[in-house]
Amino acid sequence: MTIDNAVFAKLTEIARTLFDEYQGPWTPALRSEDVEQWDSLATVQFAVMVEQAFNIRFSTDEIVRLDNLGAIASIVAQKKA
Amino acid sequence: MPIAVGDVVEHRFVVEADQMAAFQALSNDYSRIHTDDEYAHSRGFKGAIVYGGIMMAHLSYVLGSKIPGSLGTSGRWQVDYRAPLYVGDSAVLRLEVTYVSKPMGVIQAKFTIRAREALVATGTVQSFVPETEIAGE
Repeated sequence: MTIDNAVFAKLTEIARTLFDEYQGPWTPALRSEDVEQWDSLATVQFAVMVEQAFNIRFSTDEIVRLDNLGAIASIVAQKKA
Repeated sequence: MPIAVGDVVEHRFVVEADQMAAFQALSNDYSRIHTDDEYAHSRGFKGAIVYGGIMMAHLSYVLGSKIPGSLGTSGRWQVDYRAPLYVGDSAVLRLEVTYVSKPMGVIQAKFTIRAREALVATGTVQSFVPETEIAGE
């Protein structure tokens, strides 16, 4: 998976505000189960913040895949391409 | 009618002394800025100022009965207090929907509370709502 650095940096900035208790590394491999605050509710909140930050809309199929930073970055980059 | 961006609701309210007393009893918050006119004067206010929690109770009323209504669940509130609200002031809470996502079952709205032609508070809310309650995008 190729990661767009600018997209990933912006995603990480959003994630840091939402998952502010997380102290580990922010990498594309970071999964929801690695972050205590990243539950199903937070996934939706994260998705809303990402939609607004990048001016995109996720489909229902995409929403269920938003469970790790790398996948989110990839979907965002595709939509912005 | 399904909730859509641009939907607006306004709610007028006045906070009276008995409601201040009820909130004091509920919260056990006896801060002098809310209970002591003399102290409030010394801090530059015209009198004891209304608890922010009471204003948020009115926000709760709007969310639970107007937009999104009885089927919504609050996920996030953000509020900034800009000016004091005094007991007896006539206040207007205005809430406007700014974002909806039918696939995610989420709406967001911004709100203002105004009184005495001043902006008392501003903020945003996010609620989870059954997708059937949200207009198509």
